[in-house]
Amino acid sequence: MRRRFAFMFFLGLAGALLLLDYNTQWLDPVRRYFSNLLLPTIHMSRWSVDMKDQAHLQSLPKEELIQQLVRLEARAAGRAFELQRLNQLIAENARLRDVLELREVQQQPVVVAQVLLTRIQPLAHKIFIDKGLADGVQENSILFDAKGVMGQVHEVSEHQSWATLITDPQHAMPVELMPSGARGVLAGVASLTELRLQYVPETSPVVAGDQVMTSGFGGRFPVGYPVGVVTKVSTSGEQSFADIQVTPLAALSTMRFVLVMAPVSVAETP
Amino acid sequence: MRSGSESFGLVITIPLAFVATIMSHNQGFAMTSLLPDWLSLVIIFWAMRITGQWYLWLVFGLGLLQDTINNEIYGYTSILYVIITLLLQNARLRLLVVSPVTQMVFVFSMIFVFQGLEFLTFRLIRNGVNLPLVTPVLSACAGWWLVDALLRPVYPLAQKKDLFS
Repeated sequence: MRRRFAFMFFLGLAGALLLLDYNTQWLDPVRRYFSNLLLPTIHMSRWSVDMKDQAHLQSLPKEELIQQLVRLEARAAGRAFELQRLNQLIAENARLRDVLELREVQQQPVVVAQVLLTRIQPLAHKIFIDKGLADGVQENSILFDAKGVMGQVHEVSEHQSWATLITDPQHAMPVELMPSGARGVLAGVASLTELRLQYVPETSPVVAGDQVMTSGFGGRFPVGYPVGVVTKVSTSGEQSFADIQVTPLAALSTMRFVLVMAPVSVAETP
Repeated sequence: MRSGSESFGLVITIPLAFVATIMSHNQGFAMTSLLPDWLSLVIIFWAMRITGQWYLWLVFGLGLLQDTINNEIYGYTSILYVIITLLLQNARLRLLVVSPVTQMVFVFSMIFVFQGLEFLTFRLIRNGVNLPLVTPVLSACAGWWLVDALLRPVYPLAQKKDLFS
């Protein structure tokens, strides 16, 4: 009898929590509090990863490390030159916008964050990063790496955040295909190597190898950031939309650090 | 009256299992999906040995922490832990009189049933999402074998009275 009562009690308590957390934001402060409380444990639990990295570095021969350093220095010099050219282009772009009387586009600051936890399950592709409100990360901030867009932040605490990857089955984003210019919605299918492009008409001239870029619609992702490459296009001739498979460009399965940028706040239209 | 040794075991194993679960979340994507939920396994281990109501509160609270770590809706893991604990506490008297192998088979069956139920629920309710079934069951069973092998010699189940009574 007591067990039955206990079962009913805990079932009711859990049910109330589920309803409350699903439908309201009342438990968000509790979640933030627990997250802050657990942060030292999460950092501590990374010792095995850090030790593995240290062991890997220690195992490398000195000559190889020197070669790696030289390569990185050469690459850094190249990047510095490219950065100069990029700054020139930004200045030129600003002048042209001025001439055309277009609104100025805000340059969003970018912060580098470390991935502390990964949660890859069929229903959730999420990561926990070590930057939060105090570092300028906001809800809906964009995550990307050197190759492409990775996802967006959906929950922010003071010093850490949870982000949803573009491969999460509940994630979708507006995109544009290059060079065809066709637009569609790129959705996750719970696979780190595959995305599904939806709502692209079968008549669109889309072929494997086309670049998938952010379209800027929706007001969160900036325009023109690479997301993936079309790998397969299936058309049946009987349906309105083509079945398009896309491979993400970002290194989602090996990421350690991510770049975080505030969501677009000013549209790039006059 | 609780034995100091058993309380010590509980105080040590649960935080260790919790840290091990967090560690399994930062081992890279390939490993994350292969490693079992160590905390659940340790909760199962102690649920077969503790009959007190306070243990239900403990597992409920641990479920909330687990929900925080998994960024899951609050209550989801807690209720799962409470159901598992109540099932095992009810089955405890029967488990006491069977061999360790039969006990293991019972736990394996329970893991399979829980994973299977989750699999079916998601197939039917959440737009037919195909939840993997074999890998989590196998990793959980292997994890249970390890947990049981490590802790059973110190805290055997084949006793006529509750360890904490």
